[in-house]
Amino acid sequence: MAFVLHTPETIKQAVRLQRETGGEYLAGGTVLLVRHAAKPIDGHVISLQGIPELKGIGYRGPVLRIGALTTFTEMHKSGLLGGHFKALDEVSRIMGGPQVRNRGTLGGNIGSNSSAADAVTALVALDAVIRREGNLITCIELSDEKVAASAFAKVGRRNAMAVSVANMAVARMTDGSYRVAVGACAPTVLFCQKTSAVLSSGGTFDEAAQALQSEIQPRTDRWGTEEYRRAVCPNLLERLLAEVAP
Amino acid sequence: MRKINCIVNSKPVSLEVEDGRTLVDMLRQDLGLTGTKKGCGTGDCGACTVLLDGVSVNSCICLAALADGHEITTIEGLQKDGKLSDIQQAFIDHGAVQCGFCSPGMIMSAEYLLENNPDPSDEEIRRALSGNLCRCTGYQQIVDAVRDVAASRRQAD
Ligand SMILES: Cc1cc2nc3c(=O)[nH]c(=O)nc-3n(C[C@H](O)[C@H](O)[C@H](O)COP(=O)(O)OP(=O)(O)OC[C@H]3O[C@@H](n4cnc5c(N)ncnc54)[C@H](O)[C@@H]3O)c2cc1C
Ligand code: FES
Ligand code: FES
Repeated sequence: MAFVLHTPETIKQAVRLQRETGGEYLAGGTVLLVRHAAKPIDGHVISLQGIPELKGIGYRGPVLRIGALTTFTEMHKSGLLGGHFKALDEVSRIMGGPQVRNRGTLGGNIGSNSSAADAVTALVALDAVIRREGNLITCIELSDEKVAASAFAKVGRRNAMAVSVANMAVARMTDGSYRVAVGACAPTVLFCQKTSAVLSSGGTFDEAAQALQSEIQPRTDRWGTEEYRRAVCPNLLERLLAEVAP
Repeated sequence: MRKINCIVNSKPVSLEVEDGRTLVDMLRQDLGLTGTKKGCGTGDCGACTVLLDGVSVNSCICLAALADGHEITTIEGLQKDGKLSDIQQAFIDHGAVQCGFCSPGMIMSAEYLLENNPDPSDEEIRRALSGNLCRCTGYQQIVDAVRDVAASRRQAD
């Protein structure tokens, strides 16, 4: 059995088709079609590729709006992420490999529901707004007014094409506060509330590192051990804080 | 089944495909273009790399149905008038082909790189090929071949 493919041309049609069929959205397919290769998907698949409204990246006032269907290559090439949104630019530059960045989308990274989704870690630190229509992610918004500087780093088994063993993003906000997010070290991407609070109130690095250890919940899996993740997280924090320093 | 129309290696093609069929299976099985290889089938090895509207993709995780209205270039589309392309020839000259299973995908990735960056550093060449695995060569001869082609294309300009 294979699935039935739908190719809507508007957001409205896509949302209606999803509601009627209970199908899954297909963006770049770098998660969904990998799953299809392992075990054929049946039921309905709703391709988003033919919906121009979901594409593109650009400013509206101080808000950078990124369509959910925008690929990592398109984000990096746009040159619009170089400044304060460097965390997301870095994800766009290094995640997966070239072919995956050419096809994989920002919306799909969120939809993949993975605790190791690199862009999600960046978006959490950047205090991004995710807009939806029904259960369809339509766009992601980042604000110049909120973020002053940001940085992202990941550790994988190799430099390219590797699932994150741990990833982290740090943002220094325009009001002087900090936001720290970590991936692959808890059941979901984690906003590190305590660590962020320590840094925002001018605490020392050691205090921040201690707060970080208290809130991550790493497990050993086939990519890395709990001990390794506990050892690497403070190192990532130190490096990223240096990168976002005023 | 649905009917699709696309351009494959500069020629218009019409065929019927199942909704769940992958692009690599369409190319290899329906169109007989077996130059494109299928290694892992899960996006990890790059053996199935083709250009879709000029952009490199893993055809094992693309749907044939979504190629409707688009242009695909495979390894078979690189030769001109029966003559190998400069990258293909450089792979031979540098001994960058051993078993050859990775070569078509590698060459498509190299083609995509040089279209977008005519003067890549070694680091950029390695990054551009990082989605293509080779179990034989150790990569050095491949990097040498790509660097050589970049230099001679720049000279020709
Ligand atoms: C070889 C390889 C390497 C990879 N490396 C990395 C890596 O380094 N870092 C990383 O984070 N990921 C990595 N990935 C995973 C994947 O590429 C990313 O998560 C990518 O962003 C997924 O986007 P997509 O458009 O391909 O998603 P799809 O496969 O199209 O969709 C993924 C899921 O999201 C849902 N979805 C898609 N778009 C929407 C939307 N607009 N609204 C609601 N739901 C939606 C789909 O229904 C599906 O469930 C890798 C994948 C491969 C194959
Ligand atoms: S066969 Fe497509 S990436 Fe391996
Ligand atoms: S030449 Fe054998 S895999 Fe590259």
